[in-house]
Amino acid sequence: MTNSARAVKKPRKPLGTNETFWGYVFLAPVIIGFLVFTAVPVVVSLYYSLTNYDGITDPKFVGFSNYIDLFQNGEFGHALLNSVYFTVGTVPLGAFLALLVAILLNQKIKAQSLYRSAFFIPCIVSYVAIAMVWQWMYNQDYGLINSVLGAMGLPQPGWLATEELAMPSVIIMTIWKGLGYNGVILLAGLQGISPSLYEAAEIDGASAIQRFTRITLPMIRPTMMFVLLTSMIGALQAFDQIYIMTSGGPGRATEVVCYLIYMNAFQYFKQGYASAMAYILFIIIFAASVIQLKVSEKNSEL
Amino acid sequence: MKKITSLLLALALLLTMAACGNTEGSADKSSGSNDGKTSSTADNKGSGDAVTIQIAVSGSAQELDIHQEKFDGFMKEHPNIKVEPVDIGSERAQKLMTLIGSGTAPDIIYLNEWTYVFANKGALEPLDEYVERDSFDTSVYPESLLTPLRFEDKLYAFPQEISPYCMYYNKTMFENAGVPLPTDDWTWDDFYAAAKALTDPEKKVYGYRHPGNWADQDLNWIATAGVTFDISGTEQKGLETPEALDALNFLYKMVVEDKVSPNPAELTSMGKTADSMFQNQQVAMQAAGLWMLPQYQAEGLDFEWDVVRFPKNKTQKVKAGVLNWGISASSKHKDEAWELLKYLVGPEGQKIVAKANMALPGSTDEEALQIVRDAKVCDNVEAFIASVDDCDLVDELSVYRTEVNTALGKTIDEMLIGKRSPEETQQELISQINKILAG
Repeated sequence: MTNSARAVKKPRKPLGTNETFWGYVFLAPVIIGFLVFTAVPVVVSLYYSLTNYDGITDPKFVGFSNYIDLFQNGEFGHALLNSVYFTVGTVPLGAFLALLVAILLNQKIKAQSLYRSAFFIPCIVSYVAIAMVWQWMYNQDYGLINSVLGAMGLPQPGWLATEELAMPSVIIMTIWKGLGYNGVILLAGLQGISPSLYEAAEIDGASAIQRFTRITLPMIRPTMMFVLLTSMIGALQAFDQIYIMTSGGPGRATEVVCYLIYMNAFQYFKQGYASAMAYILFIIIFAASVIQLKVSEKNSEL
Repeated sequence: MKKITSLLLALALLLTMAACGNTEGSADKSSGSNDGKTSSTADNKGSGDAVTIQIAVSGSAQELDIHQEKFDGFMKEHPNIKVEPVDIGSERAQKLMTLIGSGTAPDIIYLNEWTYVFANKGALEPLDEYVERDSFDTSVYPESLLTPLRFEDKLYAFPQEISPYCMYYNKTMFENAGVPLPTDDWTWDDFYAAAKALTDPEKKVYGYRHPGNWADQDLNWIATAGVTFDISGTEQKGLETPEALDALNFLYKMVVEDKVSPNPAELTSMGKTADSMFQNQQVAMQAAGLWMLPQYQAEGLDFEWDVVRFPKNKTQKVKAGVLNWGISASSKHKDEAWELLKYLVGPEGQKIVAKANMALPGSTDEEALQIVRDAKVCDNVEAFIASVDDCDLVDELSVYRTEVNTALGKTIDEMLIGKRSPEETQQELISQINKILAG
């Protein structure tokens, strides 16, 4: 221990007599929960990813062979592409629509809170329930969407039953589900912008479009970054809606990474292999997040 | 700060060690009880203390009640043994894996198609010694049901319930369309003619429902085509045969060309609700085990219906849903668990199964079978009983069974949405399955 550290420490009262101690005591439930349910499993699964662990017998160290298998087996690459497809499909469009919703909800309109709740309600409902409702709406022969299309004399496709449409169908439902949550966050961002900025711009003769592009967009950027980042992480981890609505099908058309991880870990007795997949997914999410943050930092410096 | 950090780290370490220590501890204990099997039971009997046997159960409230009835019957005969059911929910293999992996396995394990897997992983106790010691009569269990319960020539479980696939059909629809009613010796061609005659594309009514993402439903056709699908080695056997191609062609014609069944992918996306198509008269036939009966009995269908054996081609072999019981290798009370197991799969237990009419008893116990016949849950209940000897469960003899089944179901689904021809599908199946089996 260095002298400087000692010097910093000295003025503090000993542990147990000051508020710091009680602070940690009150934090303990969260910290212990984090350790038991997050930190330890994260470390242990890194170890498992280097073993042939099957969930029952003792794990045997196998080096990087799980990782090698993973890249040699086409299925992981295929699932990864599907995850990327799903992410690219949901995140930008979802964020754009959420911004639109946030701007509309920010207007001084009648029954404002009614509209706000209406958009937020889907977020309270669990994915499982929503996925089952949409599953029915997408039904080819008896579903709501095709009934409407049929009434208008339009073709009635098998939304979840054709390879081309299954993923877009899941994407549409996911965007709808996330709209309220992202919208509310962006709404908070919008309300954080000082009205004086708009007033000043108005006095200077800025048009509505100018006010939007010169004030709203730059001011909302940090909030937007948060929305993009969290929805990207969420999209790469998508599981519930896929599991319920398509089971990865038809065939393997909607098999995303988390679905494959689940199948390997809990159906095929391949916990080690699944852990390796989870770690690759972690690295990808981590890298994508860092790149996204760096890009946004660079932009805000300009 | 540093102090706190190290405190937390120490705590984390402690927790991890505690977790690890636990499993090791219980493993030690279990191996200890393994060695001293006889002595520990002698202690239990001597002291007269009640021993608690945990048994994994699963299913609807009604099914749990049936199991409980058996447990109650057993406890009456064995006052010093207490039976404690452990509900493992619907994700059974997953839950059992967690219980076994964490060293808290129930003494008696609920086994569907994964007996071989668990035996292979050392989670089950071989039963041969117990059978020999008590001269337990195993001849009452059909060989077709015992086959999937062996690993390296040792037996690891006994069948409690068996539910072979038969064909449910809507009698009223058959009669209205003037189609002759099926008989137990009907063929693929008879089936196809009927299914085609009953299909009405205008009304979206189909002759048959071939579900998607459900390998057993595909394997029924593959088995009746004359294929013995064997995945016990490092290469699959059976799917390379012309018979396997017959089955694929048959399914292709049925779904893609003539559309006598709704598209399996569409059925998958309907989830559980696809099951109601038979009740709603949207399909005239469906293949299923006895598990449909309780619901049809309770709700009553507004049309005449019955079951008939699965249509035959070269064979009449079918898949089946099976419930077996085995003893956990880490059980501390194996002798008591064996007593309970004997009761469950013996005459008393099988009779209770028979009475409930949710599955056939897993033995050929005549009294139990007579109960099933007398109950007349459907006119031709004999179709189920006659299918038992023709149950083909050979594909359960592989640790890769679930993975192979998933690949098979998905690849055939892909054929049925028109992605590949039957010939290409055959090649694709062989290459995918061999890749899985290679490890």
